[in-house]
Amino acid sequence: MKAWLLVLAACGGHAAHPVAPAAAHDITLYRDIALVRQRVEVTVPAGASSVTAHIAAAVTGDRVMVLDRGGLELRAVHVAGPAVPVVAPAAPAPAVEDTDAADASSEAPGDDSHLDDADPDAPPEPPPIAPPTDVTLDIAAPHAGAYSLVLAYTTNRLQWDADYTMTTTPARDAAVLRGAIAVRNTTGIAFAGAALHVIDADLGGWRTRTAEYLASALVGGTPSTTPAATVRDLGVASLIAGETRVEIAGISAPRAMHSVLVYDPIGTRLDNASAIPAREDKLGIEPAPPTRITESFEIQRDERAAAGLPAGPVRLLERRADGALGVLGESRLFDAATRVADVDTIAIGTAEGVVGHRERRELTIDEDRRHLTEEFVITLDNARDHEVGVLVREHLYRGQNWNVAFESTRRPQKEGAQQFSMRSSVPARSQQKILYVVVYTWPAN
Amino acid sequence: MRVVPWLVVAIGASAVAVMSVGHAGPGSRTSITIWGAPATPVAPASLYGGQAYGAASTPTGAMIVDRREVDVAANGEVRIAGVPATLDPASVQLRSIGESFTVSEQRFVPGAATPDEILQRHVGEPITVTTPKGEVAGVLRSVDAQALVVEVGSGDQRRLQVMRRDGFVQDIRLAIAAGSDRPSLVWRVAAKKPGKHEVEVSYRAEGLAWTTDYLAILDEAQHALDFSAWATVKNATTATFENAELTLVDPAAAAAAAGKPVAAPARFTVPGAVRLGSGESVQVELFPPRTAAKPRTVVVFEAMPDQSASFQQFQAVDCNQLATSVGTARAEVALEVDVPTKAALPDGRVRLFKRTGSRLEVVTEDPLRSIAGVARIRLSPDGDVTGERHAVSCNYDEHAHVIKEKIEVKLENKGKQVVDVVAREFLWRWPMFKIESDESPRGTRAGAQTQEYRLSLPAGGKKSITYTVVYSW
Repeated sequence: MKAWLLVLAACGGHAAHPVAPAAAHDITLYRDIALVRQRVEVTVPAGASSVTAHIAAAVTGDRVMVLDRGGLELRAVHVAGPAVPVVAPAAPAPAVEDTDAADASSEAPGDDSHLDDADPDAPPEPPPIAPPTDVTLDIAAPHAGAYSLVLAYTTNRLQWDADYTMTTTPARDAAVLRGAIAVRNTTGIAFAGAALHVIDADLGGWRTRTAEYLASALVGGTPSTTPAATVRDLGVASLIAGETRVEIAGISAPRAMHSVLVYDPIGTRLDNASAIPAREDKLGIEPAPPTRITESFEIQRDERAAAGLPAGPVRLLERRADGALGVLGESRLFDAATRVADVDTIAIGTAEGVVGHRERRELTIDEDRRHLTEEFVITLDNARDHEVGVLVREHLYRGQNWNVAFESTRRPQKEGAQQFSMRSSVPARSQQKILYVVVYTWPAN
Repeated sequence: MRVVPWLVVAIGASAVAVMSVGHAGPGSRTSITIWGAPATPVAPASLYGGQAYGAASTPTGAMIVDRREVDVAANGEVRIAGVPATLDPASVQLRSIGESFTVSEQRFVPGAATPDEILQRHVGEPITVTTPKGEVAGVLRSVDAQALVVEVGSGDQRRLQVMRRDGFVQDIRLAIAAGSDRPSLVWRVAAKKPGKHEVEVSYRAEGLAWTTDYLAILDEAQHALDFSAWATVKNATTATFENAELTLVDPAAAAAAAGKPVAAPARFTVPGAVRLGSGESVQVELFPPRTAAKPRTVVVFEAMPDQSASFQQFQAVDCNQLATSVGTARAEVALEVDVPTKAALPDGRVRLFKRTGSRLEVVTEDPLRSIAGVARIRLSPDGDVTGERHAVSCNYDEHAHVIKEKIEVKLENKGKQVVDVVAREFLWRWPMFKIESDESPRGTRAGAQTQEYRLSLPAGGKKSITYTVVYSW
């Protein structure tokens, strides 16, 4: 006997305040996938019956988990389709939006639980809105009445990205940060009143780290010191079909800012996020790093307010006296490379009269002792008539197990898993040299 | 481009009794035994004839036993429509439960899916075709992609009319028997009288398979674990089974049992009948969920990878081979929970969550490790427990066909906390073996060729495991 399924109506696309009523659903957004905890309210007669609920499109039966039965006895969970071929087709199947070629051998048709990893830099193409998946639950109730079950599943049909603006005044001594996360919902269902969380990491990487922390807690081990992503609660919002922008609350206190020159010749493009360092001789040396030093703004980061904020582009805007807004510069905030930084820097142009040079003095690889030592000299030339302060940012791109054995400014600042910065003052019309030595290590096989 | 005209199907009265799998009527009972996906062969097929030569192979698909009432027509024909398109006709058996009859003929009629296939089925039957010049009623004589041939008129007015399907034919109406275009089993039987008979039909079919997924939720204090095991049955047979009693057979256990003196394949009987819709996947629980179970934290240590898959066809008689493990040890932190099964749980992934406030944190999604009565959830590698394995002695008696090997495994805990260690030892040289009584500490059988030893290692402590294994053939 079919029972009524209470359909939860979507009620708008904006974020509610954190004090909103208890969430009906709970959604954690990872970079590659979303974990949905979906509450299903049912009114059923006493005894055996079946109820049908709608969950996200293209979720296969083996990905549906029943987290809470709400006092009901659960006998079976039926998930309709997608159609499973009886015989493997001789010719390639026609392009179906849900199929994904990454691991066809182990994937059920329509399983879109992972993203195409062909081009990691390209933003994933959101799948089009599709009809939801029907889930029929065979249940038995001890007495007639309303019950609440919780289903869980993963879906790649809740894609998101974050972006920020920083607004300053003509005095350029403070900036206000605002940010929002745009969630594109192509699941085919609306999530009314969902508690949203964002974790700026792929689910696989997050799991590995979480498991490592749990294991360390259980057996008294030492977890990795590599800075990890943390959870950011976004409050309760309704995710209707299409795009919903959710404002990130609690980040808009004014932050002190000042201008600074930044020499960052390598950037994050060479970062090898592995415990085993890359051994290529010319890595970071050829082609020759640029000599450009940028005029930038350095904005103080509020560590507590910034915890767990996802990475995204930022525009630094200036509100002029007449009220008009002008763009000073663009950059990115909260990338993994700057996860433990105290400040954010936004470049606004090339510094005139100041250039830098990066030269490697030594590379030694000791395979027996599993050490790789690299020594660099950074030379800063100031042709200006006054002293300048330069922030030199270096990336330990060869691997994640590193130690800065020597650094001549004596004030290195770790900013992320493979990034640190040094500050130096260069007197007028003179030159300053910074020397540092990094030692990479790696575990035995 | 060819235009396929509308096919309007009118369901007419049938001269033949037709039953379908999905609607077998009251009193019917369907039992389905489904084997999971076949395990990876333990040896390449090219080796000495491979798996097929002198060895048992793991069954695949499903065995379906359908007990129902059928109508035996006056001409002795019995038809069951809506059977799986994937059934193996050679496996079909029809048995009378009550009054006996004999089967003189059996046919499997595949289903017709496309308009052309369906039309082909109705050659020789009445048809009505709508054309721009009006309706034409007659008997369908022939059909292909381009034209229909219809016999019209009667007596000396009889003639054949050929009609182009592209443009000229606008509509086709046919009278068909219910289910006649679906895959069917048809028998001709010799019964004492026509009418209702209770029969049992059994057959093997591909397209039914099951996999296992496990769900584990750890509480915030890490003291209690909810654990449930779900089998996902996928039905790609094109048939729907109502009220099916399911028995799921673990393929891994079946493979282990092939030709070896170990336990029979593990079978899980699903309590209560379920509906298996065509194209549907159905999740059922393998056993009642364990709630608030107390998990144990263990470090699982393996001194070397399991090599037994390479020595199923011939014995590893070289005593120097892998006599000492160097750099091959692996230790992992895992959570263990007791489960109410006598056999190891089927292979499958386990998703472990941890409650953190109102949130659920994803911890792992890994293959479940299991031995009889215990489920083991891997967390992460452990760097504190180390060890090595070496053969204290090894004797190969060529005439008696015996290898006797004494093994010592030395373990060390470099951590600051006492840990419970499960050391897994692989008796990899040959599947036939016995462990002698000098084993210390006492181990337990954890698989076809796996022995497990449990011991507590204090912080900074060292312990050894010794045992003697005798392989014979």
